[in-house]
Amino acid sequence: MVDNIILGFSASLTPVNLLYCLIGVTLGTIVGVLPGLGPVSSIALLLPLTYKTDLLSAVIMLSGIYYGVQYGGTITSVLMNIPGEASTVVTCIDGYQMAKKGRAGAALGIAAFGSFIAGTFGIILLMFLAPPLAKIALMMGPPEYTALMIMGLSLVIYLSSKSMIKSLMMGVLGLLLGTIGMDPISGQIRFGMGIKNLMDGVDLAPMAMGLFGLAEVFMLIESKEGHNEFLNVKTKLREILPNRKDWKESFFPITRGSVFGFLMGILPGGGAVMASFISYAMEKRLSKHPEKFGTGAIEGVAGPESSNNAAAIGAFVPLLTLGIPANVVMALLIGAFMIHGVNPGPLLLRDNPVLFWGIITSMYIGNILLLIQNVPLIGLFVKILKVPPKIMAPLITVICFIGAYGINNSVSGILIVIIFGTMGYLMRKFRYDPAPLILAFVLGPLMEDTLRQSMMLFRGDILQIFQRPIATALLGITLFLIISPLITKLFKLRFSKPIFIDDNT
Amino acid sequence: MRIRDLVSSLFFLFLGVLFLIGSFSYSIWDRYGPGPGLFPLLLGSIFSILSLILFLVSSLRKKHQEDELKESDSMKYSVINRTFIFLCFLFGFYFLFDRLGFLFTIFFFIIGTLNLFGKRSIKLSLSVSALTSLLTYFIFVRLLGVQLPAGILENVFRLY
Repeated sequence: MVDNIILGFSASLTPVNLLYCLIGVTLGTIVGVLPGLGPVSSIALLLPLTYKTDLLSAVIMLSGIYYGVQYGGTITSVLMNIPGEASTVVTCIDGYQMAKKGRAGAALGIAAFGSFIAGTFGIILLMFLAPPLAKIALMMGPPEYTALMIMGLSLVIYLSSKSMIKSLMMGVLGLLLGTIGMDPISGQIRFGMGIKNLMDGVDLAPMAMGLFGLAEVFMLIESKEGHNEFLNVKTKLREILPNRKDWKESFFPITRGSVFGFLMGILPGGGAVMASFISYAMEKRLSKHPEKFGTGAIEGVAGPESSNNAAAIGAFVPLLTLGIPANVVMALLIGAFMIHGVNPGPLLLRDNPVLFWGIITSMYIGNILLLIQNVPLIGLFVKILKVPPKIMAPLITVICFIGAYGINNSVSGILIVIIFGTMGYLMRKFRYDPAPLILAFVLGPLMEDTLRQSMMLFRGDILQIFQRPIATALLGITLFLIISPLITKLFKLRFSKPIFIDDNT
Repeated sequence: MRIRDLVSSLFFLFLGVLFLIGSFSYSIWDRYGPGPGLFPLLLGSIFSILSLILFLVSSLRKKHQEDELKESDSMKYSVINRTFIFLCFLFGFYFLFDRLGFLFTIFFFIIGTLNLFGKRSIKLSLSVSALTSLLTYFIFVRLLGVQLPAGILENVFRLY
């Protein structure tokens, strides 16, 4: 193992590869900051550039973009309530609230350090556990995935600090919106209403930008003179970094997020988005003060941020060991391999050990570069908050619109941002939580696919799902999570105070 | 909040029923198994039921059980007015972006929005608007290669 690591570092620490790694993580951070420009579009744009470069350098740069994006997305989520990436949507919930309390630096700091720790932890796991874990991932069939999705969605209930029925409604609405567009099995267009741009469904990025970013602008518009809540924010690096208490509160969320995120990353389709949402729900569930979530709890930033970075690393397991892409970005990376006539998979380690270990060790370097690059910049990022809302509001709107336009080079993206922005604003007024809607929208298409495949597999008898041990275990956990608060409530009612009070006494 | 819950639940009930009816346009079950209509049918039903439950719960809730409205919940006339104007600006941006081009659309949008927040000095409005338009051009068009519509300046852009 030590020989392999030395071999990997000797390949990844060459000046050229160091430069490619730096370009990758820097581009990734920029892409993450800009809403609408995701890792998929940026890697797709840069793929032709890798024709003439060495394969190792190309993969180092492209993977640097991928995990750099996870951090970049955090910056706008915390500072402007605009998720730069789908995997940082959940960071908006507590990250932005922390910024409102003058703790943006602590949120960004813990996100940077948490991402670094989780990333490094993920790389170590990738080195040791890649082959056996990939085999387990292969044991998961459609029924197991259906159960996993149901578990993920049930956890949505815990995401929301608001009414449970309203959260459920938003979850189901998210699933319904996910059905718009082409049915992946029959190819039929559903609920397209004859609109060409709805044929591929509603884009996630403009939708998230509207629900979170533009809705925030609407709220800013309400305050007549645009009162700046952030005027007293500290910007000196020493004053804003996470303190001892923050570290104490974040230790376990980072640890859990690292392990859990890595495992989620391995699962095809799971990825960073689902890892961050479930991590948030898990932290809220395990917290002694769940009421703090949604009001600026640092655990709500530390857990999801660690898990999305660990998931980004975990996604390399099926790619490097089995040649199976866990998500679209990994599929593009396979493209880079193929351009150079190399097939990633079980034979990669035997035939191309320099490449295999070079990629893995470059991730250590990439993570260190991200930390060196981002921590000193936190002070600068926080200064953005001092820009008066009256100037910030139109700027946020323009950034959202250009990001949405850039996805398909069409104004329909702008229209989606406006529609969902208005909807997000009204949802705030009517006290509906947008987070469950977004998660359900992301999971919806995958859930429908796996559910229909399972029903075909069981010839319509969905109850046969209970004959599969992994699926049964996942559904059991879901049931436990749903009924445990009810049981706790009943217990409290039973043993604390009498339920009915006699008026005569 | 009771009234708002009643209104929103009715709206969502209507939406749920629309999805429910729409799902029947697609095959629910065929000889190959579940069709494209099954999932929307299930979801439409669940959504309608949940909306109905919210409606019933809200209508049964007594006035004294009302949640307290926060400042952020307020919907005063002046607020609605300003929000409506902002919404018009947003739709204006949408309609003009392709036609007028990104430089002018962004410029006018920012001037308009800055004034919506109250009277600003013309100098500040003009400089912020011009700077944003130019920065958008250099960052998105020149640096990142995003193709933004040039609109009426198309011939000028072609030269560069």
